[in-house]
Amino acid sequence: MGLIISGLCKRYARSDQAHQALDNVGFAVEQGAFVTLLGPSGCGKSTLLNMIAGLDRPDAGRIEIAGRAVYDGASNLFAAPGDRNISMVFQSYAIWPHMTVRENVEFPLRHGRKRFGSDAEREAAVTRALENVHLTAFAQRPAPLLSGGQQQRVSLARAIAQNPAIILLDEPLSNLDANLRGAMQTEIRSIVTKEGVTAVYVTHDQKEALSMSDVIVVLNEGRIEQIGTPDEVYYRPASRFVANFMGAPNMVDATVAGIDDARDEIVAECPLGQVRIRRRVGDTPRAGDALTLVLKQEDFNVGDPGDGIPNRYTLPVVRRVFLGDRTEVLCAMGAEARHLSIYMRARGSSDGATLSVQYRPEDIHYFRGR
Amino acid sequence: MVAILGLASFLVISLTVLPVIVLLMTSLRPHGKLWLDPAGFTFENFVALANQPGLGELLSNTVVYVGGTIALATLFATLWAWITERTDFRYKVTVRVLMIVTLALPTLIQGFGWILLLNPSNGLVNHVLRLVLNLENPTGPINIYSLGMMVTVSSFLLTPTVYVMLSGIIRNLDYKLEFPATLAGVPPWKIFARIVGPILLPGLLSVLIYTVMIMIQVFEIPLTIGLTGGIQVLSTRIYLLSTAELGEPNYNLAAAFGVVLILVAVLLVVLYQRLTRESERFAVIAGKNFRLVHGRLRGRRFLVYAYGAAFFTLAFLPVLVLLWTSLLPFYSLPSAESLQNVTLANYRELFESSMFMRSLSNTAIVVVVGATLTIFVSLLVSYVTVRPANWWCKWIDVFAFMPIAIPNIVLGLAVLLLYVHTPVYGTIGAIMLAQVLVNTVFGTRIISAALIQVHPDLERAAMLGGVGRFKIMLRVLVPILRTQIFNGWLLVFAHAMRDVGIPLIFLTTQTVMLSSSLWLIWGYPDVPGAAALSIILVLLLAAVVTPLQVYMSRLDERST
Repeated sequence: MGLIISGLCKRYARSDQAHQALDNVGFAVEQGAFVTLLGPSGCGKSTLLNMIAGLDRPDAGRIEIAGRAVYDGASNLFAAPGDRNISMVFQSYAIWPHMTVRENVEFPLRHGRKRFGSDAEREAAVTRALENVHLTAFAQRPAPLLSGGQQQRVSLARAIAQNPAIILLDEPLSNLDANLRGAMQTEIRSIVTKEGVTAVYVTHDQKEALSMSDVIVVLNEGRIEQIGTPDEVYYRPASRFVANFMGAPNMVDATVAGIDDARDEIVAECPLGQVRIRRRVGDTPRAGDALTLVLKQEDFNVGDPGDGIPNRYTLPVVRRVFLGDRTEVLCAMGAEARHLSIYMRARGSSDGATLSVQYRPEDIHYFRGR
Repeated sequence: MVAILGLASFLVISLTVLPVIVLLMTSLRPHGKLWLDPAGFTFENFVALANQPGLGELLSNTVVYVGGTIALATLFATLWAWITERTDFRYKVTVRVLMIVTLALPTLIQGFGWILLLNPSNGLVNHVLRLVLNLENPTGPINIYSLGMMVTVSSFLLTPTVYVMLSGIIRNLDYKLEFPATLAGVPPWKIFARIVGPILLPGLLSVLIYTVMIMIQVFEIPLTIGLTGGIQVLSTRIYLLSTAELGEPNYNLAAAFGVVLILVAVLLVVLYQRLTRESERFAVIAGKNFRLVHGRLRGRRFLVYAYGAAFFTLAFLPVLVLLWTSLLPFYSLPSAESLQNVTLANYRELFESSMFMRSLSNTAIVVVVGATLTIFVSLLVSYVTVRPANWWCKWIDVFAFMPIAIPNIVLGLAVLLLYVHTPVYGTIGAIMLAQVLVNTVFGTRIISAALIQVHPDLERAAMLGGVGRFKIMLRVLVPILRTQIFNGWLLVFAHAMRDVGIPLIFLTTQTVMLSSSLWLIWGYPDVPGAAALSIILVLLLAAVVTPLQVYMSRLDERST
C-alpha cells in the first residue's frame, strides 16, 4: 500500500469556539495510484494534506507511508516532515527566488535527506528531472523570470527529483489560466505515473479531479462523503452533497409505488409522473418508501422514441440557456417550484413550447430518503 | 527548531528580561545596595521618589514637553502629509527625501546647533534679531534655555517620524471608500467625520501612542538644552541620578524612577498592541490599481513653497551653523572679517587628540559588531515569532517588543546594574550589550515585517526535502531577505552611532565613544572642537550609509 490513513482526527480550538477540521478520516491507496482529495474550501482537504506531510500534527489516528508508520496517535509516534520521504508541490509554487531553475531542483538533493554517492549522480538526477518537465533549456535561468506555468514545472521537477514515496500536490494549478491548466493536468498525471510515485492531489475543481484521478476522496466538513473511481463518484454519488458537487444534477423526490420483479425495476411516482428505475442489487424498497432520483442533465434522450419505451415525458419549456457547446433547457416539472434541467445539442434547439424526453431506467441513480 | 527556539529564548531573556529584573530588584534594595547584595527588600526608594523635592515640577515639565512637542510636530507633519499625499504639489519626492535626511541627523548635534543659533547672549539668530529690531538689551529676545524653545526644537526633530507614519496611513486609505458617499452627494466634512475619520482613528491613535513612547525617551534635547536651563524631565533626572555628574550616583533611586517608567511603558505597549490589532480589523486591502484624485493647489502652492523653505531651512540651520563654527578658531558671528580666519585647525587638533582616536576606534568596534549582533538576534527572534511553533514564541515576541517603550536611559541603567561588578563593566562590551538590547526592537520589527511577506511554503519545500532549520535560515531565508537584513543593519548602525545616553552612562576614559567625547568636548567648553567633531560624525554617517545603500540597490537591480 502506498498510503494508509485511519481514524484521523484534528480539532482546532480557539478561545471561543472549537472546529472539527478532520473527523475520523480513513482510506487506503495503492502504491503508484493517483488519489484526489476533493471538496469545497474549508472541507479539511488541505488540513489532511498537511497532516500527511507532517506540517501539522493530528489529534488521533494513524498514517502509514509506503508501509512505514509516520504518525500514530496511540504510541505518540510523529515523524518530522523531513523524515517522511515525501515531497510537495505548492499552490504558491514556493520557488526560491534567489536561485536558478537548476539550483532550485538541486538544493534539496544537495542539502536534504536524500544523499547521493557522487556529484555526478546528483547532477544526473537533476538533469533527468528537468528533462521530464521540458525545462532543460531554462536550467540556468533565474527562477523568478519564469512564467507561472514554468514555475509550476520547476516545482514539479524539484518534487520528482527527490524520488519520494509520496508526492503531495496542493491545488497546484489554481493560479494558472484555463488553457494552461488543461495542458498541465495531462502533464502532471503522465509524469507522476511514469515515475510510479503515489500522488495525493488536492483540488476543489471537480473536472480536474475527474480527469486526473484513479481514486477520488470527497470530503465535506472534515468527513469523507465518498471514496471511489471518477466514474463511481460521478454517476453514483453516495449523498446529496456529492451529487451537488459533481455537476449538480437534477434531484427529484419520488415515492415507491411497487416493484416490477419481471423487469427488476422499481415503479415510483414523482413530479414528472410515473418513473421506472433499475433496482440496485441487494436493495429491496417497499411501496411508500421515499427515494431521491439523480437525473443527469446530459443523460436525457431528446425526442419521442415511440410507444413501449418507459420514462417518456413531454414537458413545457420555461427557458433556454445557450452555453455554446450545448443548450440547457429548463422545463417545468408538475407543480414543483424547481425546474428540470436538460442538456441538448445547441444547434437548432431554439424552438418549441414543449420538449419530449426519455430517461433510461438503468441510468437512474437513486438514494434512499429525501 | 528546538535549537533555534532555545537560542532565541536565551538571547531574549539574557538581553531583555534579565536587565529588567535587575532593575526591579535594585529599586527594592536599601540605598547603596545592589541587586544581589543580601540586604533585604524595602520600598524606601519609592517613598524617596514620592518625596523628591520638585517632583511636581519634574512631572509637569515632562508632560508639557512630551505633549507640546507632539502637538506641534503633528501640526507640521499633518500639513506635509496632506501636501505630499493629497495635492498636486510638484516636489513631493524632494520633501520625502529631505525628511529622511533630517531624520538621519544626530539629535545631540541638532541640540548643539540650536544652542549656537538661539542662546540668549551670542546666539546667531538672536544677534540678527537684535540688529534688525534695533533692540538695546544685550541678551534675547529668544531664550533657548526655556521649556517653550525645547518644545519647538524637539518638534522639528519629531516631525519626520510623525510624517512618515501619517503619510503611510493617508496613502493606504482607499479613496473608493469615500467615492460612494461622494456620488451620493454627502458633503465632504460629513464624509470626513463619518467615514474617513472612524476608519483612520485606530491608526492615528496608535501613531499617537508610539510618539508618546518616543518622546518620553528623548534624551538629547533635554540634556543639551534643558540641563543648562535648569529644566529637568524624567529621562534627564534618571541620567543625573545614575552618573557622577552631580555627586555620588544613587542607583536605587534611579532604578525606582526606571521602574515607574517601565510601568508607564507596559501600559503604553498594551494600549498600542490593542489599537494596532483594532486597526488590522479595519485594515482596508487596497489593490495597486487605484489612483487618488489629487486636490489642486493652484495659487496656494506659493504658500507651500514658503512653508517648505522655512521648515527645511530651520531643520538644516543647526548643522550649517556647526559647520561654520568648526572652521573658526573661536566662535564668532559670520562676517567678512571672520571669513578670513577660516581654518581647518580644529579638525587637525581633533585628529591629534588621543581621546578622539580612541573614541573613533571604540565607536567603530561597538557599532559594527553591535549592529551585526543585533541583526543576528533580530533574525532569530523574528523567525520564531513569525513562524510560531508553540505558545512560548508569543512570549518571546512580547519580551523582545517590551524595550520599545522603556526609555533607553533606563535600559542602559539596567544593563549597567547587571554588569557593575563583573569584568564586562568598564569595557566597551557593556555599551555594546546595552545598545543591542535597545536596537533589537527596531531590528526585529524590520525583519519580521519582511519575513511575513515570505510565503511559508518556501521553507516547507526545503523542510520536506529534509533540509535542516539552520540551513534553511542560512541558505533560503537570508538570501531572500538580504535587502531588508542589510537595511536593518544600516538603521541599527545609524541608531548606535547617534546614541549618546548609553555611552554617557558607561563613560570612562577607556570607553569613550564619538558621541560621548562630543559631549565632553562641548562641556570643556571647546565649542569649535565640538562643532568639528559634530561635522565629522555627520560625514561618517553619510560616508558609511550612502555607498552601502547605493551598492545594495545596484545588487537588487541586477537580480530582478
